[in-house]
Amino acid sequence: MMKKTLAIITFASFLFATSNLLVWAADTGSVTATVTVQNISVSISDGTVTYGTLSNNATADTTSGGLNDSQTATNDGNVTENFNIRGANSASWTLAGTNGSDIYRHRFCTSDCDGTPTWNALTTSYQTLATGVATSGNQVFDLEIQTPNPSTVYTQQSVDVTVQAVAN
Amino acid sequence: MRIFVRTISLCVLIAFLTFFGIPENWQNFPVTSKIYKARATNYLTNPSFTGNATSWTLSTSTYDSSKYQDSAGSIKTQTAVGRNNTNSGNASQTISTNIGSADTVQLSLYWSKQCVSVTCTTNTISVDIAKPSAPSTWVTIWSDTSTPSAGSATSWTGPSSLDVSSYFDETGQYNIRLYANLKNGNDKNAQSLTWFDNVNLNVIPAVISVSVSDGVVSYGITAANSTKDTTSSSLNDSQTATNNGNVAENFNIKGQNSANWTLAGTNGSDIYRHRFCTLTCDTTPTWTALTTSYQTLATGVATSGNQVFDLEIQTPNPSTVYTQQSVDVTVQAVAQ
Repeated sequence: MMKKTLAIITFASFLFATSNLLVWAADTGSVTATVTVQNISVSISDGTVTYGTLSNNATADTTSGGLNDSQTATNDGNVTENFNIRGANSASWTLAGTNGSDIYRHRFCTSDCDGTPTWNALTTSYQTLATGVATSGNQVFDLEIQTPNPSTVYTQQSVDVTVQAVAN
Repeated sequence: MRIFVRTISLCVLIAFLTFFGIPENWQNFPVTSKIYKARATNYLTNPSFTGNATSWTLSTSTYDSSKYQDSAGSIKTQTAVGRNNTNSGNASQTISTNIGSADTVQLSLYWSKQCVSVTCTTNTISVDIAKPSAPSTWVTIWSDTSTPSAGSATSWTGPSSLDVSSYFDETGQYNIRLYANLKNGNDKNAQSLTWFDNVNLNVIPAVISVSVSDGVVSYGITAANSTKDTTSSSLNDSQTATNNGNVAENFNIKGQNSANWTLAGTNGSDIYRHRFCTLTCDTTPTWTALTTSYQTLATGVATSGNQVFDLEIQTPNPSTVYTQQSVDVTVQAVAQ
């Protein structure tokens, strides 16, 4: 035990005594810098709505009382995002706030859509769907279509909806 | 128990000698430990000629046991008695420890002269060194050309801690000699003598050290092909590189590639640009692109001095990755 103690003390003394004699010919310091490129990304799940075959001047929606196919827009980026939404004219129909001859209406809802929905008519320009959606956060929304009155065509129409994400 | 006490005492003694050196009873040169991290060490062997001139090579000069500044011996050079006689001699040695070009070197010594009968015509003494690159070429780092009046030997005197660092501008092994060149006066009894004693060549090894404060820049999340910097109008996070060594330093700076981006002077796809600025960075900055090789950040930074600098990043255009990238910057200090 005594020998071990003496050995430790001797070694410690040596380290202590020689530590001040270290000399450097060059030295470096560093700046630890980090950066991340902003990623704006959104995905829609499931991203498909099939309204099916409807009569003229008829409505259909994705709520639980309709197709039960609500859509979910998710922030897949690394910053907080705002979501915008817009509709589109189809090949034979024009999108508008009120339906008419070869004019259809397409609306979206984000609040209490299965109970007392508030529908907002889509246009071909972006309008706000949601704001301040955190990374990995999402916005659920429903869609409702009203077919033209009347439609002069009876082929399937693509009435796609686009969701855009921008940095908050 | 006695062994234990003896061992402890020995350890304390070793530590004391390592820090403060073997006590020299003729003179102590205090080291300003607040400034220097490394302690001055006399690189000469047998500097006080105590009992002999071991480790010195004598040419004409001799060991004189009877005359000394404090104790036991000195190096003497003398002429023969007679009208206008001349002589030159020296004591030399190869300094066993290499001296660095950035080291601080201080010379201390004592000398005494004597001119017998009449004033010497010449009584020049000098300390010369030969550099590693030219070991046969002597360069005088100190000299005295005074010729004392006829009479007894002068009192011991000499330079104390004279900074001779500028002469040691190479790194390697030096030679040193104590040189005397004598000529008697025009008298039949004339004689010239000179003595050296307690020659110390104290070397303070250069300590090169740099720190960067605060040393952290977080650019955060920024759009592709966008810039962000540390100036007052952006992150307001200027960096300060400080000379923590004991000699003037030059600072160099370099950047690095990150895990997914390449550093270049112009951004591109997965290529980012990183620049630094040292002058009026908050108003009219001059940005210099970093590379993965060192380039000059500052020169001649005095001990405890510093260089403030700013950094600016431009993200790739575009970036194919959106994970955090380490875009570290390294500051290197070298002796000026």
